Amino acid sequence: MTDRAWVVLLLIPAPLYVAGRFLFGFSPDTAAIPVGFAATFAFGMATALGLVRSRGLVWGIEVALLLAVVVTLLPGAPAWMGGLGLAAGEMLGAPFVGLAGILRSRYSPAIRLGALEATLFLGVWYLAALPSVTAHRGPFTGLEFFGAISQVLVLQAQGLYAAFTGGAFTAVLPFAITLDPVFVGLAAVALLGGMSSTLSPRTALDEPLPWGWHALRRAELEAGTAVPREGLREGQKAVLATRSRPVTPESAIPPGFASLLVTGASIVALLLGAIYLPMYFLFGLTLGVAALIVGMIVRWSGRRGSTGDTPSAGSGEVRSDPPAPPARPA
Amino acid sequence: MSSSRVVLSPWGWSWIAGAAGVFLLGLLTLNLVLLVVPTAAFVFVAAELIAFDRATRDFGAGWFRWQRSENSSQVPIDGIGSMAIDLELVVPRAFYAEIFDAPPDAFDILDGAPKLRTWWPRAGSVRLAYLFRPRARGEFRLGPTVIVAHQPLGLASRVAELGNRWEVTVTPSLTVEEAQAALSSSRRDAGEAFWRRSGPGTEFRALHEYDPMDDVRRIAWRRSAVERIYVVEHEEEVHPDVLVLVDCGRDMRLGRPGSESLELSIDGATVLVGAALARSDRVGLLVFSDRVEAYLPVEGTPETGPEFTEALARIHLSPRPFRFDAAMRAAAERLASPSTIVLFSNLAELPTGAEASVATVRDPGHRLLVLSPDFADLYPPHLHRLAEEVFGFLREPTRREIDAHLDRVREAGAPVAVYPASEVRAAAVEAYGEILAGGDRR
Repeated sequence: MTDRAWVVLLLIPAPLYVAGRFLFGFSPDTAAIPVGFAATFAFGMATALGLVRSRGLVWGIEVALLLAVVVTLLPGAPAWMGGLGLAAGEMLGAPFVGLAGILRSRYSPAIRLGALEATLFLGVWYLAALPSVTAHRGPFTGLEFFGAISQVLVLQAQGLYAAFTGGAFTAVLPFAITLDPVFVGLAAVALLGGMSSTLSPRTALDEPLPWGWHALRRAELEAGTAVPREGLREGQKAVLATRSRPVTPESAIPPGFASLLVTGASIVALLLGAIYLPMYFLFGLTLGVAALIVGMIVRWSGRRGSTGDTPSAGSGEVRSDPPAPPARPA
Repeated sequence: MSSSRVVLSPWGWSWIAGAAGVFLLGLLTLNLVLLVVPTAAFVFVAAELIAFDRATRDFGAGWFRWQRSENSSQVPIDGIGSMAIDLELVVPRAFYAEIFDAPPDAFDILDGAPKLRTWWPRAGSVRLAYLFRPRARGEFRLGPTVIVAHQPLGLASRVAELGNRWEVTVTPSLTVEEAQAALSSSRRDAGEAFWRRSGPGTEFRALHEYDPMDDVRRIAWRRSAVERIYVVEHEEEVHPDVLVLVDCGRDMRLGRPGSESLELSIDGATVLVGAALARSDRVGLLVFSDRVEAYLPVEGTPETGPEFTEALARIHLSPRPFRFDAAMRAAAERLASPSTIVLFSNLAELPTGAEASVATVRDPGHRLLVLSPDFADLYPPHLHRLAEEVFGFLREPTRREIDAHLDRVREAGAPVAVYPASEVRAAAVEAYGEILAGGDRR
């Protein structure tokens, strides 16, 4: 198993749990819902595992999935699409497309973190709409699914408005009150998977993960064309032959491991604070994060190229071969 | 020991930006899960940065001992030079390093690499070695070596710079020594007569029939008969003093890259100095823009070839204009005895009163000879006829101006030789022949 497969394994349980809870609630007669879900799920997994790499193909499939949703909305759509069933299935599978975004090599941490958060957000959103599904009598259709998730959004907006205008959190906030313990645990596993895609110091040979700087650019480092070595002195040949080559770091504990432990401890403290001091939690968290951002910017932002040392610092010598150049003319 | 600042990389900024973005989403939903993710990212990045900041708090040039070896100090243009740097870590630390020995843009790296990204173990050493090929003439600096300590995940870095610059002089493709050697051998061949002239010397040159103007003391009585009298012609041992004056003003940029007027002039000056040294003549060099840029007095001996090569290699295009009158004054001031001044210039700029400047040189007995590239030959013809006509039209005013300047200098009494760009060396040899002939050869 490659590193990438391990990361995917950590990422998929959370969205799979959410999708599973919905799929069992739908009417077994509406085949379009599992079909739409299966299509999106398969595509997301294929891109996450690196099986679909062509950018054109990825875009093509995404457009095709979107077109399928549009077609279901048109009057006179084919009956096998089951009203909005296909679209609902695709919506359920959308978190897996988001997961693929975490593992695309050209994406920055900002996009990856956003993709992870979007995936978890969809999970939270669907779980917030789940009570409507369970309360519903009889088979659940795609149209009713969209009605439920839209209603959650409206309620959240209304609740936020009431909270800001009323000055107290007395309103109903569907997103805030949805806290499925299983989903929380699986989300933590997904977070670990998302972060480990950046931490591991080693890459799988067949499909390198996109970790930062030590993706060695050998072609760039070894630039240059072959030069006939006959004209070179022995010393020149010797230094060229013994020059250092890039070395990939190897260690039992990956870089960032200690920080991961610190992060884990902080999150436990955060959860304890959320449970036992709910009144101060949000205020304290916002204040803490703001202080952290300001601190990092003040302490570590700055111009590149400031070296601190005077250029003459350090110790060394120059040995020229052939002899040093003659003195410059006056 | 002072240390550089830890600077967040774009990767680090991206982490913070991403976390800040999703934290806003968390605040909108007020869902614990969605608040935990960005908070975890913030804490993780902050912990990593604090750890890196502490681990590298005294990072700087003092961490390293370095040695440059196999350094090329003088390389001909398009030749091959080498450079090696051995770096030793003297502190018991290990880090992810990016090492970079900054080569000038004009150098092509042929083999090896001037940079390296690697894991640097405790007390380990690293060797950079590379071969380079300079594409431009002049004086260049290699280095300094810059070492970047990267945070293990690439979130931030620190930079240290070593004071280990190295100067490399890139000489023209032909050095004065090579020109000197080539012309010394040519003197022994067919070109011998070209380098000499008849005159009051001691070495036999030829016989010619008596002319009433000839000195009767030079009649070769043994070779003469009653009906035909011959006179001995002797070789004149001429050893002129020559000052090579190179215009390095801003207008010497005219021409195609690599064969600009300045480069052509330096090529010609190299040959001319080589010719003078081959004959053991006294030669000097004056490089001028609106002031003296470089000067070697007129006392060159055959052994001073490398000095001239280096001085010619170091000539650079000045951003200032060439001032003809000041150049003439500077040349005249530096010449003690009557000499020949050979000016290499395209004369794209000539002030009013240049004729008087020529007179200031000629009055003390000096001669001025101007070698100028053919403007029409400075730019290769375009393949497309329309493009050729357009560029020809645009260049026409400059061409006319230069022609007018050359005419003015000629009228002031200074011979002007206009040479095709590809024949600058031949033009320099011919010019030196003219100097030896005392101006009567043209």
